[in-house]
Amino acid sequence: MTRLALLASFSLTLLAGACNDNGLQSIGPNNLQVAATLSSVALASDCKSADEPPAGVGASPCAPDAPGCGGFCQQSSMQIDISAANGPNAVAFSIVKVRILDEQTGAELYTLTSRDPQLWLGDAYLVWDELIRPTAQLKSTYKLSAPDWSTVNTRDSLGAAKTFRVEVQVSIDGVTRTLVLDGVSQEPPVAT
Amino acid sequence: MRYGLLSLLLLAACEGQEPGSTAAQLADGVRYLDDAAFRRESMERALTNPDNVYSRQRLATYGLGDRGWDRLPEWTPRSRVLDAADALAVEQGGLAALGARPRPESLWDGARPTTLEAWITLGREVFFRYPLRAEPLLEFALSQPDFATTVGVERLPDGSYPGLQVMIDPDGQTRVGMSCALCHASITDGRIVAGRARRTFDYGRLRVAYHEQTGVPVDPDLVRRMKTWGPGRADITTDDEDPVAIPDLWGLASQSALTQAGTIAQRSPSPVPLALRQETQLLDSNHQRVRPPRELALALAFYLRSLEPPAHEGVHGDEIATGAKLFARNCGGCHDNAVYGGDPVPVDVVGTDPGLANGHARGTGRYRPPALIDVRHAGPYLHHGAVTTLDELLSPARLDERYTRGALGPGPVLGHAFGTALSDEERGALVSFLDAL
Repeated sequence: MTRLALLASFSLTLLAGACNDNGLQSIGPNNLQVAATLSSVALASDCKSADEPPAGVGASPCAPDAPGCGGFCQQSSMQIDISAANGPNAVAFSIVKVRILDEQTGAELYTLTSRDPQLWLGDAYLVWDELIRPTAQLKSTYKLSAPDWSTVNTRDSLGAAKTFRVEVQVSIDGVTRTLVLDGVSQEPPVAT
Repeated sequence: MRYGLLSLLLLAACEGQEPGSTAAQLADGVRYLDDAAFRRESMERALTNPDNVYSRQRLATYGLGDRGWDRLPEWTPRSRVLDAADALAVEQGGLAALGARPRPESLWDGARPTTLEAWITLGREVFFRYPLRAEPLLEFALSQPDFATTVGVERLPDGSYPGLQVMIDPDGQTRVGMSCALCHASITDGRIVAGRARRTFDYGRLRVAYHEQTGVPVDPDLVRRMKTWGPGRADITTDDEDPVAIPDLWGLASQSALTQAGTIAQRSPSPVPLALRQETQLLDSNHQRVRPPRELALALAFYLRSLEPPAHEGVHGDEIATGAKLFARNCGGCHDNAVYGGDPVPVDVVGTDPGLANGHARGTGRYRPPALIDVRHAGPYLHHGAVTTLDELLSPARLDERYTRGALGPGPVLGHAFGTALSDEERGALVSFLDAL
């Protein structure tokens, strides 16, 4: 690598570090510029055995007291939008940590786990190997574990329903960044 | 870019248009489709109470361009109205058998309509075919068709199920979906009445039966609550106890607010607030994993604004003329627009159960007076469906502690006392007038 290229790479890395959490421009050792942003988070239940398509009768079980569980299991999920510039190599993407925070105080309320990465391929989500290839425009989804809602205070001091901030630490080509989405709430029993 | 240019041309051509004219509505719709900043601004302007959960969620995620909901994948579903053969397949062989049936076609070919009629035609397809979600409870109901009928999952004479779809879900699985029509299209004398609430649909009873028969665990308190919903009502928020009656969809274009709590304002004769409502509803109800093409949300808005109840023979007579005068005196202060609806009214003025109006989920501190056209078919009445008939609504008896005829059980149904001081004769005249709307 020439000194000029090294300097450019270093500059871009500094720039990446200075960027906002969302829409970040992450550059790791493979010199692929990647932007990622959190599109949405749905907080409901965790349908642990939902790998197979649910049957009409005997659909996936879920915790008895979980919201969205009244009649079927509603899987919690998050959606992440990723785009990559042109570059020489594909880079690895992974989820490091998912936290639910009190939107007003910033206090951590719960840590979730993620699994089953998938990509949108035109009309459906399909399994993703978590590789970001040059020029890729990716819309991904991950299943999330669910908070134990009985331990999460969902009301503020005045009794008003809280909305949450979700922070997702991701690793892109070995560089860790944090994606943020505000205004996240529990799914109601009948989402309309 | 191409659409952006078209938008600008249309806007230029629209200068001087009559507000609310078809041309102006179409131009507004195009701007909604092509101008992200306009969408964001329209959403901010439409949310009546920015502090409720509904608003906070939208303000944090909608119309942000490079992040939030704008970055979700756009989903045009493959779906069709579930027909008799599909239903039989589910009954006899479950989803595997349904998956062996012909694959449904895409709901939309991607061509943007150019006339109001074409938008409305597309919107009707969305109303019946765009799934709010895959619905395991309906798959369960179809396994027992007779039971399904008793909870309002009803068939037309040809065996099809309005409001139910065979769909390919966002995971590529063949499922049974539910669309707007499940709750907002009734079946009367074997015919669909799109826009009239399906007051036979008992979602709570369906869910309770599901748990009882499958053994899938559920919070006992939720079961208790669902048993209180009854037909035509459901709890749609995370607030504790505020089930609402499914509303009719008449006269939406004339109303200054959307939802029974007036969560979204419609301050101009534009389809955009309703398109915003439908776009985010279709997105949210599909668990925020995909978003609808905005063309489909706009088409649905145009369609919903076009809905009218079936025509009935006008009734005239002295009693109705008297009733009209009584209406103007007792009701017209709030029910004062073209469809006898009106601007949202503070909940302490209405005086009914404040749960929905003051709720943290969608509350605004107000209730929107509903449109009263076709009101004779709209019982049970009030936002929570607590009063069985118009006569009961206007009767002082329902305010009494000893009242036993309420739709939700014994006890008084308080609030909305307007008209309850009328004499029996006057009440009869007012009911006759309302029956004629």
